[in-house]
Formats: sequence, structure tokens, C-alpha cells
Amino acid sequence: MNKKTIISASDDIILNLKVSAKEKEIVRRKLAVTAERLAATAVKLAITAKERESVRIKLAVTAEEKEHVRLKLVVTAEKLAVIAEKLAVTAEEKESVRRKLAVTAAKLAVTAAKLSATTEEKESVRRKKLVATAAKLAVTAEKLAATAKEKESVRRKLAVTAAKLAVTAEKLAATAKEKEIVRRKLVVTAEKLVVTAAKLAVTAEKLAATAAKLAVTAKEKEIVRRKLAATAKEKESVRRKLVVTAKEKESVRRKLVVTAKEKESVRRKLVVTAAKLAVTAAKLKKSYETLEKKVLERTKSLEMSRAKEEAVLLSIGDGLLVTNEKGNVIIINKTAEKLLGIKSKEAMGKVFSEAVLLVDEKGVPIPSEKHPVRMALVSGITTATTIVGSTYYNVRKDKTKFPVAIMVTPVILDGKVIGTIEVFRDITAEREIDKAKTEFVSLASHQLRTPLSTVNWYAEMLLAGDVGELNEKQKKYLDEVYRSNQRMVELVNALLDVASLEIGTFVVEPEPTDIIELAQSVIDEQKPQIEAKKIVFSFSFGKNISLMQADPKLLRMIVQNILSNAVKYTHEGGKIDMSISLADKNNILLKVDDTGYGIPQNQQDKIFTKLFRADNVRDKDTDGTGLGLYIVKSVVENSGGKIWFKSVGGEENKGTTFYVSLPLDGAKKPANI
Amino acid sequence: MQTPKTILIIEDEKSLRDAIVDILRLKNFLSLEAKNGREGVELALSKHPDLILLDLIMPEMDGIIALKNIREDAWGKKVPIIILTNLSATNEQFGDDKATLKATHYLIKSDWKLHDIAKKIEEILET
Repeated sequence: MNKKTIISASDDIILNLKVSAKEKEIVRRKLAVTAERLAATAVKLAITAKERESVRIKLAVTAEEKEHVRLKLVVTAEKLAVIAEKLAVTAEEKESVRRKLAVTAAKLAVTAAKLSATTEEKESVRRKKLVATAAKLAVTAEKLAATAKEKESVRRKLAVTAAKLAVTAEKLAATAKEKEIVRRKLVVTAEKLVVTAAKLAVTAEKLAATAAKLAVTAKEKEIVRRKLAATAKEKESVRRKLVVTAKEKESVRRKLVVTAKEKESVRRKLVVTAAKLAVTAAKLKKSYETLEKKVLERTKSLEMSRAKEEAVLLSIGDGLLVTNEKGNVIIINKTAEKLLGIKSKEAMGKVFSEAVLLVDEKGVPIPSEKHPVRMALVSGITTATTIVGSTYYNVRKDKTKFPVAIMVTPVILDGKVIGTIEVFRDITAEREIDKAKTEFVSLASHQLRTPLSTVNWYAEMLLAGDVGELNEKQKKYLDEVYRSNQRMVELVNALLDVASLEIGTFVVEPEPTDIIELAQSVIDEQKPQIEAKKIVFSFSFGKNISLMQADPKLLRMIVQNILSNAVKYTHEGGKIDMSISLADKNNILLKVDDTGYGIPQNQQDKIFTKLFRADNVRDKDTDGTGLGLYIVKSVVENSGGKIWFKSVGGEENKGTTFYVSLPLDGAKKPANI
Repeated sequence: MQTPKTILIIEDEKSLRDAIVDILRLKNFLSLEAKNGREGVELALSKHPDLILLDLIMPEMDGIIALKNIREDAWGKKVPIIILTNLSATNEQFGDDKATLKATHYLIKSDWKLHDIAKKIEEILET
């Protein structure tokens, strides 16, 4: 055996093992070589034993040769000691290799663990392989550890053997006499050496086996290595990817950190918002529920109110007929059904003129353009029939008719007529009342006036001396009778006028009338009163005033009322200015301006009210009826004119100015049909 | 001296009729008296007075019918008739017939003095 070679080889192995895992193969090979060499050494030892046998035989022949043999044995022993030492070194190296492997295994295990940690999801399979590999490596390391121990044990035995051989050799050298003994002992020793050789052979075989195992282990290691290499490559690529991924992850992480912070802030805000939202949601829910409840209540109340309205509409005491913008009937109430003797379905959807026939007194249908519904639809103005003027009649289903008062109100939405509401009623009873009133007026006028006329006429003749002269006292008394009777006549006339106005039986007979002449005659009539009160009176009129179309009777009534009021309610020595002029080309204006008592401010709005008398004149003049201005206003307005006044009443006594404007072209018919 | 004109007074109220007769006599008119429409028409158509004063509300026959009857007569178409009444005229009472009835005048008794009525009669008869 070449020591240096082994040392060199061992050094190489150590170096190589130190360098890298890749060189483990070389180490393995060298180990294999070492093993082979050990085997060869064992064989050689066996041969050496045989040679020693022959040497012993030769020693038996010659003692000198024995000394030589002994020397050789000493050498051999020394060599064996060296071998043992080398084996020890080898064992230590193996131990170091094992440790390194263990360390590597541990690192791999750590790597595997790391891999498992980092690529748990993606690399689970690989990780498992690595774990398995690590386990195998651990097993290998353990085996190596076991082998090392066995080697250590062999080495120790070899050392012991070597020591014994040294002792033997020393004993052989000590005494020649003992050589025989030594020889015999040598025989024993030789036998023992044979055994030792055999043992060495076994050891060699074991070493070979160990070498083989090591070879296998090396192969396995190689496989492991390759796998590891592959794994390493994969790992490297994985690592690089991981590095890249890690960088990306890092950047992502940083971003994520930033994002996370933002997210955190957002999250907090969200949490706050969520909390607020939750509160809001709760409120909303509550308010929704409240709303829902309200809606329900409202709907219910609307339903009820609609039902009520419908019930109200349908139950109105007057006939009700609602049309759409085309004049088609859309609602007809129960009273209308009853009045017309029809069912609502017979009228619904029909045009108004067909649904309900409207005729005049003679049964001639009212032309469409004069039909209140049509007029309301066209004009958008409320149109009504009145008891003044000609009467309209509705025809029932059974062809009988009844006088009807109709009021049609247009339904206007956004300035557009979208329908009409006709309210109508049977005025038969009213007609009868009117007739009764008219009869009463006739009766009253006749019956009341007849005795008044009698008193009038006889008093008149007495006063005129037609039946002989009266003395002054008689004249005075009779004059009182006559004047009181005259007042009674006036009162009756006023009452009759009011009655006529109110029931619409006032006769209007327009004719060309000279208002100046008429006014003059009224002034003449009033002259005695004006002069009696020493009133300064003036009358002026425009020169261009033509004849006007008016009922002279009514015109006279107007002028007379206004002037007599002025005279009545002006102090003695007061002033009255009367004028007639053209207000514009169509109207004349009568103006009567006095310096009288005036009309109290707070009563001015009542001055045209029937039977009203202002407080400040009630005591001064007991003759007044409170009917004059009421009648005048009615007549003026029925003639298409206007009446108004300016007055300062009360303590100031600034007087009153009355204005009456009347159309020149005569009394227009009232706006009503 | 002119022949006195004859005035027919158709009036149911005696006190008023007497008063009219008195004033007409004072003014030198002859008077015929009827106390209702029927008598009035008979007298008018038989005596042919120069002027008729006609009341409206009367028993047996009212003034309107009397007026119609007189106007239907050939002589009666032209005779001046003054309706002298206390009835306030209404459309319903005269209706559309007023124009055809052609009363010359329409006077309310309580508004007219007797002397003024007599004056009116004189005016009408002079023209």
C-alpha cells in the first residue's frame, strides 16, 4: 500500500468535499478506490500471512531468518498502525462528511421548510419531494454515521492488534531462548494473524460492502444531488422568480402597504361611513316605514275623501252634468238622473246637446251657440241662465219639459278649457213663486194705490178750490194730508220698483231720449225744494250731446233720485252743481256734486244696499226709504252703465259727488241670457 | 162754443170714477160711466165716445180684454184710449200684445193729478 497515495487521495477528498457537493462524486470514487485498495491490502495481508507461515517454517529452520521475520513483522505492525491511523483519519473524514451532509440535510430541510412556507400553495409537491429527499439524506447520514462507527471499531481493533504485534515483536527480540516459545507463540500469532487476516478480509469485505454501500449511497446521493441540482436549478429559477416575485411582491407589498394604509384610512372612513350609513339606514328604514304608514294612511284618507267627494257629487241636490273638453258627458249625478228621468248610462259619453235636450218655451231646441255648455266651452267664462229673460226648458225622457236654471262653469287647466260643470235645477216651483210675487205686486200696486189715489185726487180738488175756497188753516191741514199721501204713494212706488227689479218684471222700453230736456224737467220739479233750502244750484251740459237710446221713465228715475238725494242731504244755503257731458264717444256722464253731509267713510260700501240709510242722515230726514240708490244702481247696471261716488262724510261735511255713466246706444240687455 | 166731447170712464172703483166725472164736468166734458169691462165695451161700441179712460183690474171683464174687444171693432181701432190704472205694467200682463193693443197712453192714477189728466185729455182731443 502506498501511504502517500492514500493521504493524497484523502486530502483530495477532503478538499473536494470542502469545495462543493458536485465533487462528492469524486470523493465517492476515491472512496471506492480506497475500498478496493483496502480489499487488495486485505488480500495482500492474507498473502503476507501465508508468507509468514512459510517464514515461520523457515524460522523453524533458521533463527536468523526468525529475527528477519520479526523485523518484518515489526514493520508490518507499524504499517498496520499507520493503516489504523489512516482508517481513523478516514473515519473522522467520513464523520465530517456525515456532519456536512447532516448540515446540508438540515439546510435542505430549512430550505424545504422555507420553500414550503413561501410556496406552500404553488410548490407543495416539490416541497414534499424535498422533505422526502431530506429524510433520505438524513437516513443516509445516519447510515454513514453507523459505517463510521464500525470503521472506528475496526480501526481500534487494528490498533490493538498492531500493539499486540509490537509487543510480540519486542518479546521475540528480547530473548533468543524464548524464540521457540515465541515461534510457537508466533504459530499462535500466525494462526491469530490468519484469523486476523480473515477478519481483515471480512473487514475488507465489509469495507467493500461499505464502499459498495457508499457507492450506492453515492449513487443515491448523485441522484439526490442531481435532484438537488435540478431542485437547485428549479430552486434557483424559483428563487429568481421568487426574487422577481419577491421584488414584485415587495413593490406590491409597498404599494400594498401604501394601499393598505390608504385602505386602512379608507376602511376607517368606510367604517365611519358604514356606521353613519347604518344609522342613516336605520333612520331611512324608520322614515320609510313612517312614509309607508303615511302613504297607507294618506291613500286610505284619499280613498275615503274620493269616495266622499264622489258621494257628495252624486248626492248634490241640484242636477250635475260634467263634460270633457269635447262636450261629452263624463259625470251625471243622481239628481240629474231623477230630474231628466234617465239612467246615467244613457247619457254617459254622449255630447251634451244629445244627452239632455234643451228647448225654449215653445219646444224649439236652443241653438248650439246659445247653449250654456257650448258657450262655456268656447268662452271659458261661467255662463248662466237666469230668471230674467227667456226661460230654458229641459226635456225629460217622457218628452215632458220643466223650466231649468243652468249654471255652467268651465274647468280650466293651464288656461285651457278641459271640460265643463253644469249645475241645473228645476225652477218650476220658483216660477210659481215668481208668478205669485208678480200677482202680489199687481194686487199690492192696485189695492194700495187705489185708496191713495182717491185721497190724492179729492185732496187735490179741495186744495185747487174746485169745490169752493178753503181758509188758510184748512188749506194747511189738507196740504199735510196731501203731502203725506204723496209720500205714501212714493213709498209704494219704490217698493213696487224694487219688487219688479227683483223678480225681473221691470219693463224697459228704450226710445230716443233727450237727456238734457229730461234733466231740465227733473230740475224744474225739484225747484221748489231747492229754493226752499236756498241752495245755490247750477246745471251745465255739453252742446254736442245727441239723443240717447233709453227708457225715459227709467232715465228720469235715475236723474231724479240722484238730484233729490243731493237736495235732501245738503244744508240750507249749500251748493249743488249738476252737469251732463260725454264721458267718451259711447257714454254720457251725469255728475251731481253737492256740499252736503257726505257719506260716512265706514258706511260707503253699504250705500247701495237695499233699505240702508247712513247714520248721519237718518235723523235729519225721516222721509227716506233706503231704496232709491238701490233701485238706481240696479237700473244703471241693467242698462250697461256704471254708478260711483266720491264722498267725505262725517264732521268734515265736504259733500258728495255722484257719477253715472250710461251708454248712448241704449240699455243693453243684461249679460245674462 | 164747441160741442162737448164725450169721455167714457171704465172704472170699477166708484170713488175714483166720481172724482173723474167731477173734474171732467169742470172741464166741460160729457162723461159716460161703466163699472166693468163688459159694460165699458157695450157703451163704447154703442155710444162711440171721443175718448176712453180705461182701468185694467175690474170684475167681470178686465181692461185688457175690453181693450182687445174695442180694437177689434172698426170704429174702435181709432178711438184714443188712455189706460188709467194703478197697476204697474209688466211684460207678462201685456206680453207681445201691447203694440197691437195700441193704447194711446198709459197713466198711473196715483202718480197723476186729476187736473193733469184732464189736461192730457184736452191735449189728445185737440190734435
